[in-house]
Amino acid sequence: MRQADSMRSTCFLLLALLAVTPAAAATTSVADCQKCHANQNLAQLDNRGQALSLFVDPAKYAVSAHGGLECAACHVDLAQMTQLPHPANLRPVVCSSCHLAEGQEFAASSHAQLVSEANPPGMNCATCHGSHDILSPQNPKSPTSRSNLSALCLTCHENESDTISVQAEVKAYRKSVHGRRALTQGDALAAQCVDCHGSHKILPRDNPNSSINKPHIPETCGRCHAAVLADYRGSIHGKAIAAGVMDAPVCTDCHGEHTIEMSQVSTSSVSAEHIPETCGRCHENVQLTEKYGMAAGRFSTYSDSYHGLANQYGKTVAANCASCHGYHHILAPTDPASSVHPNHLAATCGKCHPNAGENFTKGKMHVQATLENSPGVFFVRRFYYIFIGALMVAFIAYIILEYTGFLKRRRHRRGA
Amino acid sequence: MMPWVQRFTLSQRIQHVVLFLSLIVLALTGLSLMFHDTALGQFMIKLEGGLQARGRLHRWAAVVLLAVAIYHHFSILFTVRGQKLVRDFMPHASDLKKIRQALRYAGGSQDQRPDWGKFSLFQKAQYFGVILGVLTMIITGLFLWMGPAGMGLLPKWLMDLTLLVHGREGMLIFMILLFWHLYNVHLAPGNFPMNMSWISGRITAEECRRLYPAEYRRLLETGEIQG
Repeated sequence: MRQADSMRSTCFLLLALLAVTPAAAATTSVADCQKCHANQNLAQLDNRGQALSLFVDPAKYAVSAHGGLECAACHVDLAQMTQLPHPANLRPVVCSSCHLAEGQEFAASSHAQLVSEANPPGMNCATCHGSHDILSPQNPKSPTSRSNLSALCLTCHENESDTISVQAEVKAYRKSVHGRRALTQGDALAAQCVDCHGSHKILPRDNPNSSINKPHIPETCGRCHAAVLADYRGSIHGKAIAAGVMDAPVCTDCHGEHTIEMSQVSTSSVSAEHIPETCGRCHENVQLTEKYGMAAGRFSTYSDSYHGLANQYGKTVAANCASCHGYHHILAPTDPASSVHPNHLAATCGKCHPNAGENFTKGKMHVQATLENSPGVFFVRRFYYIFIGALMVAFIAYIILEYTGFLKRRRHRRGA
Repeated sequence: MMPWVQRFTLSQRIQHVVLFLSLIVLALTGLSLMFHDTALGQFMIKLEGGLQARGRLHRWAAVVLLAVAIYHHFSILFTVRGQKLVRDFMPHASDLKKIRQALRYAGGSQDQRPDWGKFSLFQKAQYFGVILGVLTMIITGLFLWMGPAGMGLLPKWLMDLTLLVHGREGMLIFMILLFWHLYNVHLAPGNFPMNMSWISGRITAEECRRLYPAEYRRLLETGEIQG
């Protein structure tokens, strides 16, 4: 049926080209073009032999963002053409002749690379923005408006069979605080795909120019979370990233990406329940603690502490990493401004323990005891280890001795 | 009728039962906390009603232990029988020589049993070990019980040591009871399945003559038993 339609359209086009007599035209007005293009059946075969509609809906064009422009503004060949109908196959429209910056950004983006043998149409401006019906992103009906934006990306990226499918990420995003606010609560300020990934300039995360390339992540998140960015930049983590230490965490290392959730929600990677293991991913990691000379086993030693145990058993009122160390503005304990610097320790402990005084600060906090940092703990541990071990050896030796004697006597009795 | 020798008073037997019941609860609730990072430890904590119930159970058992410890110390200080018990437990220089005999007898290289008094040196060491261990556990335990208030009294490093000593000392006591005391009263040759004197409080005169010859002779001399 469709093929029959397209055949009919093609015939109609050819007839139209023959029938219309050549006419002199100094400039082609929209009205001139609409003489043919307002016809819904106007079509031609494209170079793959498929029907390509040449219909331009006059009503939609009139209200489009470009509605005030002549056709020749985009279809530049028309400016030189004096006769209508014009020859087939006008040169492709080049949006970037007006939208210069966007054109340059797009040309360098991943989407521009999609034109290939396997995918001849590739992606161009019209894929997202539409063509004659193009609307400003400020228009809520536009596919690129805030209310339709994520759905637009998902038309390709949630496609099951496609290699560009990112279903897992999309699923996570829908459940995340950003996704819930943007998609179900209609919060126009909540982050959508393009807010982090960029729109025209979208690039894979391993590209150094990408907005989601590791060192750029803080500024990307900071576009909305400006105060947090300022805190983070002053922190030991932020300074390390600025100095090029890429093992240091950026926002997503603690908060997650598409899974991001408010700290008040227990499933969040930065909730009171999960923050110890989130920090522990680096601070319990032997490779990292060795490489940067950080104290080892910060998570396991915390887990063995009162706070850690209470936390594991659901008492979230107990101190977690962030309660004492802070979070975005976290500093090294040796930094005099740090909340866990010895000068501030009594005050920091005092947030929960009103009796916290000098005594709280006289000792090490969740360290792996070594001879150097905790000789007392080290020796007591060693003493009991040796004492219990020696006793066990003595007991077992005695038990063996006693049974040897017992069996010997019994053999003797029976022999006698 | 077989003559008997009284070994423990009723009070001492009751103290022993209260002591071991409290120690069993303390060991189970304490070890489950010590091994909270293992599946077994977590299972035990669950069995004990969760982390907080475990703590309450541990402290209730500790109160019982504290009570029996106080009672025992009063009895050995202020009662005649108690004072006699401590005298019987006092190690003597001659005990050291008997250790050699004991080991030779145990290994079967001599048939002559060691000439122990009422208690062997092993039993004496165990008694004072228990006194020392329980005192250590009570003192460290009380500081830990105070929690943050205790931290106001002691510097952090001393609290760290307190916690460490409490755990390790507990482990030590547990291991001694398991590998030494329980072995001796249940599995040692002649005691299987169980030495009944912790219930009856007595042993036969014949057992006394074999195991505690010096005590047996003393009892004959004082006329407390007839030969």
